[in-house]
Amino acid sequence: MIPTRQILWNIDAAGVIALYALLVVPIAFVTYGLARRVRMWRLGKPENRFDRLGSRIWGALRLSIYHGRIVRKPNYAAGLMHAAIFGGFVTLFIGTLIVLFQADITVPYFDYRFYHGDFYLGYKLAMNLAGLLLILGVLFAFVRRYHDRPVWLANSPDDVVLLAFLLVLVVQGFTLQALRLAVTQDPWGPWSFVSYPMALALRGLPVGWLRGIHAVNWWVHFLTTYVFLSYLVYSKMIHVFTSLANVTFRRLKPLGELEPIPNLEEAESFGIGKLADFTWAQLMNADACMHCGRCLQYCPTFNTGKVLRPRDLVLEVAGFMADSGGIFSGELGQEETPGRFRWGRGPDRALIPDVVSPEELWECTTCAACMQQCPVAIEHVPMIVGMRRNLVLEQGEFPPELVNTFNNLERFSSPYAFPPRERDKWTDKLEQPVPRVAEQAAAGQEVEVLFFVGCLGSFDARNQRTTLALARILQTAGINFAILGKDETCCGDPARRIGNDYLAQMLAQQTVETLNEASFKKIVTACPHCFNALLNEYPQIGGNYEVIHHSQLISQLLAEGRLKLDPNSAVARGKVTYHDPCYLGRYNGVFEEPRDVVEALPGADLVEMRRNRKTSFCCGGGGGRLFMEETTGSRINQARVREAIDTGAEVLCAACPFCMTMFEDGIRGVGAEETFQVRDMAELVAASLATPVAAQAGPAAEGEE
Amino acid sequence: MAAAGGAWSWLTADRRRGWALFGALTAIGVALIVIGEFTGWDWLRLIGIALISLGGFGLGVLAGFSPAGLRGVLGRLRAVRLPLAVVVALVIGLPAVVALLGALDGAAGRALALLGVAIAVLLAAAALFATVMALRALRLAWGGVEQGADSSTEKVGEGP
Repeated sequence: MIPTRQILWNIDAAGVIALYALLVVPIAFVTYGLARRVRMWRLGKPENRFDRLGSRIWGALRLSIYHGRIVRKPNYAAGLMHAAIFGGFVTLFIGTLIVLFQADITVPYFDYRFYHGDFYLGYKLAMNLAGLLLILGVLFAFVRRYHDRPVWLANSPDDVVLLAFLLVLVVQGFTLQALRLAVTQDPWGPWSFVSYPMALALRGLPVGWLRGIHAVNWWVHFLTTYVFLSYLVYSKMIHVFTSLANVTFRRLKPLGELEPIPNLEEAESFGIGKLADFTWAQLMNADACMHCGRCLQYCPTFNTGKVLRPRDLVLEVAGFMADSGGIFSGELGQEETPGRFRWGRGPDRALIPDVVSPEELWECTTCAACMQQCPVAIEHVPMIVGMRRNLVLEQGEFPPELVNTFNNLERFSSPYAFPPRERDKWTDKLEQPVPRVAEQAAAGQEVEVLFFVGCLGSFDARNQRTTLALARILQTAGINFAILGKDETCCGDPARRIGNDYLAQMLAQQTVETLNEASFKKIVTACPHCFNALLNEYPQIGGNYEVIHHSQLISQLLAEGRLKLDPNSAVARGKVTYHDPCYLGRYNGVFEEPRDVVEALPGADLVEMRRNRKTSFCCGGGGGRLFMEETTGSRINQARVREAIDTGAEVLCAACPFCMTMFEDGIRGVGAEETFQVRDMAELVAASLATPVAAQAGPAAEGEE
Repeated sequence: MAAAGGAWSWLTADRRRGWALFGALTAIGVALIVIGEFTGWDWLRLIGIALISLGGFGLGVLAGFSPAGLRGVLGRLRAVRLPLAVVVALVIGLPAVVALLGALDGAAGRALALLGVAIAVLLAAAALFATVMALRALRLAWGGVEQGADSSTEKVGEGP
């Protein structure tokens, strides 16, 4: 006796006809919902997301099959839950197709049967395992939502209805199998290890009753499947399509690269002020969100009780899109549509301020924790900066404290009101002179390293100490370096992130012109914001340079033995914790070199904060926030300082002038000035140097030449 | 590609053509399924499925890309959505629950049958739980939540 079963057992002709004829309903519903969305996405501006198709498809496969962006720190449990639901669902779906493949193709056309023997037994085992996996995943999801709900997870009716659908579908499947086995009493029944014991329990019932209830359950099961499929694209389950599409057409450019406004001089509108100002990919982004809330986990605004929640901002845009002619067009869009956030307030709204509030937009620190965490590669920061651009350049609306920043950037090419001639005044405090690039060029001297000091390092008193320390380190190591001096201008990062792209482009262009006239091999900077702009954004305007952060250079110098630290130095003895600056770590992947430097400090014991590396927590100063007031919720910098203090460290090692400023303020804010200090790694290294600068620099510098 | 574009333009220039074409494909597909079922010509089934799928796809795309969409159909569905959803929630869960509770009959049987009873009870409980949760969610969605409100996320202060 060969193990197999009759396909569509106990189903009469009416059932078979209904099964196939009604297929038109879910197909039409799914296609309609998708077409409606594609129609909306097409309203967006064009953007080429069809390059490097191989990488794109590979990324989508990694997301869907490998679950790489889903099962990861700190969401291993939730990720595995999703993997169980996904794996169970897909396996059962494929299993159903396999059965139909034999019934409708191989048998009628080739008289070929494969659904028997060992294959059949393995299939039964796999299907039961998949069903069990799906049930466990769904039950875990219920527990997570109703018992241990993380603060960033929001429950909507849609979430519950979908989980209920999945659970009931699998229970129906097991029930059908048990009823059939109870009647047919297949000897290979135990392979269906979930249904078989139930079949044994059901065997005592009359066969007629079993057959009858089987038929009813079969009809209900297939109709449930069709209702579920029809509902799919009108619920957050749309993500089975949109997340794949979103990951396939994701940004492949560096995370830290913002697109400039093209043809700024001739542009008629600026940034994103209405739906049609988004690119099609950004509109698709909005529809890809499945409300998981991972973007909130490390979001500095969410975690300090501010208005901005990246998830909600994206869903607000999605809801507005739906109202404006997406799924629920016209009169239907006027009604409330539950299941997602803030839908159904109608299409007659302005994107800003009715859908997205300016307050939300200005609160963003552009730390990109949301983008880093999002499993489906939604790009929140470019959307936010795009809307800021509209506020600044078109509506002329921005926080009043930015007026001075903009004025200073325009007048002095710096956010601070210091004339350019004072940019290199800090060099007066050095024991040895620092050459200027222009002077070196005039003297026919080559420059190996251009030290791009940055505005904070040049003008801000606290950050000048970092600049001096780095200059001393370079001199000690005998590096042939020079600075631009008064020719240096702001890199444009604050202006760009604030949304004043006009100013940003002007400053960047000015800097690129200066740099392209200079002769050097590489650029070193102590500011991750300058680092990111020079490295990732200047190539847009013809500025291609080798750029390194000072933590990378110091790490290299220590490793090569070009810097010797005094083993008796008491500068950083004991526990030291390191804060990953967003624009260095998350944006540019520099995590280990700064830690190598801290670990090299004599007597230093590096302890990590709970949130570190890719899952670091912003200082609150990025995205131009350094120049704005923080009036809502608790203070971001104080939250991070408290986390640093909680490690038991007495020194917080920074690697960014923005972070330095925020943390100095944060330490005062929490009243820890006496017991806790923030120091840049250059300061710690310079203070730990074994040999005085003057003694080392002379011969080494000569040797370099 | 150009041919497909041309065909699409021809269909959308006068949408009635499209409705008629895809409607006819669906109807022919259903007819083939019926014929196949009663004649035993199982090979007709695949052709029927293909036509029905193509018909459904075409109808969906045609409606999806039309300016008004399915305003009327969705409007009517929306008007009866609450009773519809409650009925659906009950109908999809209860038959399985009834069948599974039938397994209680095996409670006096041997050990494996007892395990079967336990599994059946657990699955029935899970299905009932899911149905109740879905009904509760539907009630919240259409009864208890202020329009546009974010129903369950509260503002938090200092993070996790």
